[in-house]
Amino acid sequence: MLGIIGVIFGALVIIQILAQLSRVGISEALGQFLVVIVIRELGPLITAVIVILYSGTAMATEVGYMTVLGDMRAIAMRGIDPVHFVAVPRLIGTTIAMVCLLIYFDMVALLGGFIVSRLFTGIPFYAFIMGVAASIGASDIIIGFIKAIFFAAIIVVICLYRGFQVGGEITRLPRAISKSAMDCFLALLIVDLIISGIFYL
Amino acid sequence: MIKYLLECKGIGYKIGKNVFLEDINFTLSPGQRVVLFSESHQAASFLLQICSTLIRPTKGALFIEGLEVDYKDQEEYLNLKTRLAFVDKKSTLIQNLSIIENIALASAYHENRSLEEIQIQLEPIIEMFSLKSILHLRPAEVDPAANSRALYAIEVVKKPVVIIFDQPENDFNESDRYYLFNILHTLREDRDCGYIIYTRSRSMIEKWADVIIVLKDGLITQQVDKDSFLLSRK
Repeated sequence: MLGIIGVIFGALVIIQILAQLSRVGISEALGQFLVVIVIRELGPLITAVIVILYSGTAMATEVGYMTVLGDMRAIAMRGIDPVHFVAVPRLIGTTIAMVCLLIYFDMVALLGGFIVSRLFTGIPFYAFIMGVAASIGASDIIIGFIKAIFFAAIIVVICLYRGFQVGGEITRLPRAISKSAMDCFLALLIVDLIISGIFYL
Repeated sequence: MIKYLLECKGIGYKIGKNVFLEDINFTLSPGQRVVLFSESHQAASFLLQICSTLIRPTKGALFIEGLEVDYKDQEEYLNLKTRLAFVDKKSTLIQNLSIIENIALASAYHENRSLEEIQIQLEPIIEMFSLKSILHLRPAEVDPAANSRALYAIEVVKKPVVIIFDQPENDFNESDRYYLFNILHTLREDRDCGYIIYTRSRSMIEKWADVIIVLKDGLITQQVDKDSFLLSRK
């Protein structure tokens, strides 16, 4: 699923860039634009949105159900902190998954970009990759990872918080799920803005 | 030597303006069996939850093994729960864990031991509660009686010093109840545990009580030994 989205996304970005660049005749800057748009900015964001839709809402639902079914009480009665028991594995898992998915997304988005570039401009693979390599710096990759880690933490914290808030009332569950998705999305945009502002301005 | 395993000092509990418990005072000594007796809707469940530290009293203090319960010290508060066994109507197994995972969870978490290792150690308790054939099933896959037996097994495994059960007669049929009492007797003899059992069953009181506490309108109205209680209710 993420692969398909990545290829489509990379292709869409290149189509838009090509539409603009063909007017001024600087198609060789394709790689640079792809790096700026996909790897620096939209890659981490789109990956995080997919993680929210796929895992974040599932986390909120699961934790919400656990509170409704009395699992949290059962965990606490065994002398285990329910927040620690539920949150730590999910935080570690989501962070690792987020970083791996980001790498995967960036790669397939570049592939999608190359396919469209090849179709419309005939650019060879080597030239495309060299363009990307010349534009990408170690900082772009590191900042991408930093964003991925922050985004994973935000998703887990917000989704678990919303899940725990369900308490014992099952009727609160649907609202908790939709609120968790919306809160995550807003928080992601704010944190993305802050991180990009710090590193790129 | 600890004088009291559990002590309620001036315990009160209210939600908003509704007062459920007021000025509750009683003690539980090692090996003592306290039966809480009341009609329904007399806030006995609240008192049991307070004694098990699940809810915090709005007035008074709870002492366990001579120390006042500190609800703010999270580590000590959680540690305290491992010394208390508590089963009430709301108690459930963790639904996405199997029966054996439910039973072994506390040991696996606190002592960092493998499930297989714990299972070997728990073999006698698993046998005692007739859980062997359903160990690897999830709670939703077994009948309610087996779920109840697993709940009691979890609490017994904790090696508690205070055991608090809310109407256990409802969770077991006559023969299973007999087994449960045998287990409780063994625990009492081996570890000198104290018991607080809420019941409305006369036969339970006859078989099990040392002291009976009668709760009415949120107050303790009577605190007597078994014989006096049974005599007064004839």
